Amino acid sequence: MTDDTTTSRRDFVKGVATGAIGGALAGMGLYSYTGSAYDRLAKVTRQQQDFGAVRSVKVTAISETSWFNNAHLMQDIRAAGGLLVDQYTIGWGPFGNGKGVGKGSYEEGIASIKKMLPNDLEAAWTIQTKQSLHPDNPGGFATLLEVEDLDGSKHKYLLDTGWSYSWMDQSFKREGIDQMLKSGEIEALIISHEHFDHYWGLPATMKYNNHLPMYLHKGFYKEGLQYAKDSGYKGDPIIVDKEMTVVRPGMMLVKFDVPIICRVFGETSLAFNVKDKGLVLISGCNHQGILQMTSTAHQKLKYDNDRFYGIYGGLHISPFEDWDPKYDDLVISLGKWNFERVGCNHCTGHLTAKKFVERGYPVVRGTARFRTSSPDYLGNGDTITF
Amino acid sequence: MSTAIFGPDAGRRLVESDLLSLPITWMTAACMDTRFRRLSGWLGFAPCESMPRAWTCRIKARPGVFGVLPLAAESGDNAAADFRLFYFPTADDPMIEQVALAAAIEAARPSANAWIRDFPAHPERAAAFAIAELRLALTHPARHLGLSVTADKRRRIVVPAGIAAPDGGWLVPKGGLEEDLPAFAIARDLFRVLAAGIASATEAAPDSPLAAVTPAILWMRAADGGLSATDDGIRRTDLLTWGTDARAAWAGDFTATDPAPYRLARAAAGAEPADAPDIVAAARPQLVVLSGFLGSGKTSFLNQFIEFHTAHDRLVAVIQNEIGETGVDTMMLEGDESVLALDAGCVCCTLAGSLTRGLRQLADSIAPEIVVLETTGLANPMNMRAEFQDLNDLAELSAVVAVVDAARFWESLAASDVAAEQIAAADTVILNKCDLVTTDVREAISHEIHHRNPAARIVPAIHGRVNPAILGETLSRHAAPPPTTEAACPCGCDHHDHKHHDHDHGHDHGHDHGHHHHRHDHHHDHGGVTHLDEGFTALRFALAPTTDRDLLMWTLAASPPKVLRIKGIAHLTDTDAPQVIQYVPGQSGCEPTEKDATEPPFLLIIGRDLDAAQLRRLWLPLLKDET
Repeated sequence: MTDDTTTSRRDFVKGVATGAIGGALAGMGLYSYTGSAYDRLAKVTRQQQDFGAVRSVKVTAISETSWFNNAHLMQDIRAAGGLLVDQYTIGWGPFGNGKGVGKGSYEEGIASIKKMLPNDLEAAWTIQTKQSLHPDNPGGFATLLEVEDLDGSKHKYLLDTGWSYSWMDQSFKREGIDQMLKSGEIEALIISHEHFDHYWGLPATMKYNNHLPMYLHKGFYKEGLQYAKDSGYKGDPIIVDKEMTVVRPGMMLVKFDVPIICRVFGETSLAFNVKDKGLVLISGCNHQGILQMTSTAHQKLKYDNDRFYGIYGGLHISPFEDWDPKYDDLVISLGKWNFERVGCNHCTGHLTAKKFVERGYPVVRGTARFRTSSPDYLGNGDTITF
Repeated sequence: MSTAIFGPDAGRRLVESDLLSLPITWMTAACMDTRFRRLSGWLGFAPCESMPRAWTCRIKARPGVFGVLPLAAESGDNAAADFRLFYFPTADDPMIEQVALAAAIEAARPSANAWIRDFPAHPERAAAFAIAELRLALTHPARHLGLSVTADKRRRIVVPAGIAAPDGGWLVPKGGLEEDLPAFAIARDLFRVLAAGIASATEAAPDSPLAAVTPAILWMRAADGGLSATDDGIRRTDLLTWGTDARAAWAGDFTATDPAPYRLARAAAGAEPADAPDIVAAARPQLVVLSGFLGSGKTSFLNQFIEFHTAHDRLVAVIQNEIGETGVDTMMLEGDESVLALDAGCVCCTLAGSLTRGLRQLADSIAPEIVVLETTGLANPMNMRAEFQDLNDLAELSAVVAVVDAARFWESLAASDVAAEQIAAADTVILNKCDLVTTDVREAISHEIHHRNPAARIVPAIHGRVNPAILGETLSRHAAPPPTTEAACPCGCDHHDHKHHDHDHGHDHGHDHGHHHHRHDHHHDHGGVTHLDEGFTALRFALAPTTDRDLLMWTLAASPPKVLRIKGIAHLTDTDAPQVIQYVPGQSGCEPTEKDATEPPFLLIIGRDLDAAQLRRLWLPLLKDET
């Protein structure tokens, strides 16, 4: 034996790591010395909030088709200056001013239609189709939530209010939302985030009920807050400013402060504890990332059977652009949590949804009606009950 | 300071949880800027299962995985937050030999990424990979901001007794270093990217960088494994501030330091000249060249690719080039303007002209971030490699991908040298349709591909399903400029020396290369074999308005052996949606088009030395009535 290093450390390390070299570790001491050389880390502990329970949640996809041509949407955003550009300036309806891409303005757009809001949606949208970019592209995202309490009473909520006035009014009528709003059956409107396709269709809700409680994320910009007034809203928005807000027992708003493309800040998702079943997560887009959503719920909420039962909505991968291509972020993370029912649509991606199905995940498939393009999506007019 | 990080209520007082999540927030905002992502080499991050939220990330500068763990924060007018930085080397990382042996073994295990992704939940394993401390300071209400990194210049463990290898040699000689990690250099690689993220999201360049040094500790490991410390070495802190008030959070003697590593932060803030070569380069779209033999599954892969990038808010454009006149695959792709069909003809012959025009056209119309050049199933990417040098200012070649059909691998190789050269030219070979072959066959094919192209990464796939993020990691060998020759082309097309294809293609073609249904008189050898040499031809027929499915399937199956590929659009009598017809020998089928077919039903038959009259007779019952 000499004092030279005669064995390649890399080969040795690889050999042991892959099991090709065995039995050599006894003398290595492994981490016996790390205790003094390196600071120890604290163990992760869950701090779970008990927020009650509901008996069931029924979800109706009023519209999940936010826009109809992705290339047109991305083209407009890029032409306006990119993903950081303020959505109100891109030139889309209802804030188009006829000046072209990247030159839109909240004030000019709203001035052209304000007097028609919220009652004459068709006239307002017709004006905007003449002065906005790709006027046939907008659709919208809106969801009806029917929550059954433990005592059997039922409570309806609207999650988001879409984009195009005409598409949303049509979609509301198709699902009877107009009547539910008029009669006051819908107890509140919850806006997941300020994005055009979730919020700009607000007059379609206001047309039928302009005073219902409305939850907005703390990160709404002044244009967004002004838009509530300009759309004819007569109430005071409830600003979601805490990470966890209980709406009713078993129904929680979970706030994420995440920068989102087109100068939007923050998304609010929903969590339900369904009695004897487990946790149900419902989102608009999941801009916080599915991993962030699931792990926040896992760390901070208490739910029956300590299991994730269901998930619904746009299961967005961004903004966490995973560094590990072998780890198929969304597909695998859903497998890990072992959901019993999955309803996905909107920004999930058709091939991703197809992969869920093929992996044997319990995807509740839809009927591909009303311009929803794949039965792997829980599409427009489809329902799922948790 | 920017609303991109703090939201509309940017002046609010931040609480501890805000401070601890601030790096994620500003990096998320910064990554919305394509140019920042490209310039900084940011490869993405993933949140860990922990509270407060830790995260892992990768950057191009290092092969390993970084971890950032929030430790503690103090809110108030002079708020500060501390983070611990980890670096987990990969098995092929030179740093694997620089860390303690036991740690190296942990990190090199094939399963290591699974726990590294969640390193805060594995404190006993992760501890050995902690390399540095990050400190963030933020003043209120002025919003001056500071960020520092502190690490040993080298982190060392001396082993007086040495560590013997099982085979009798020494892994670490007596008195040698078991660990000798350039901790500061590694940590600074991430630090400068994080700092550039602040600069990008706030659109503000940092003040001049500062540095301070303190003594570091050298660990002595005794024979019994115990450690003792002696003073030795240097521990260094680099500090960047945006506003001098932030300095208050740091004690110690700071002096000016080399600004070179922090030019990135200035560039990200737009404070460097916009015409600096790296800044100009970062604004180019990435170009992915996608080749693959006939019917190998290129379009399936392409659809995955587009959806992946769409989900990441990136706009992909596709330039398609088909040997026939109709790019049938556009029918299966989403979007309109994002798909551009080049002039009919082989891209390998018309590349410099058509592709340059195509890239310019796309840049002007939709400015995509990524352009996929989907070459005809007959094109030979070997022929194109020289051309990409000329396109350097229009696009950055980021991957050359060949899709290979495992079920027809050997026949494809035997049938055409182009298939072999597609493999040879690729940096990534997607071995598709693996479900159609046994494991033994798959391994034999992988072996053969590796033999033909040892540098290529081979990715087994079914239905073209591959995570597009893997592309381009083995591309560096394409970066070397090829030799050039200047001999004139006998065909008068301004080509130079067709014995090689290494000539300059920085010109537009003077004549139409769009219709290659004939054979060129001159030997059109590009240093590889073109499909012209091999006698490939394409025939196009108009189909009747409706088609009987059984008859169609029978006719496809009756194709003579010289037919290598059939594609088309048909309206079947038993279903409403138009169908895409697909045929390769031994396999045929129909599937609905992904969007409405706008053109009349047609058929495109590709093969070698096709007998047009014979094929017309075969297909006659299904063709459009010409009278």
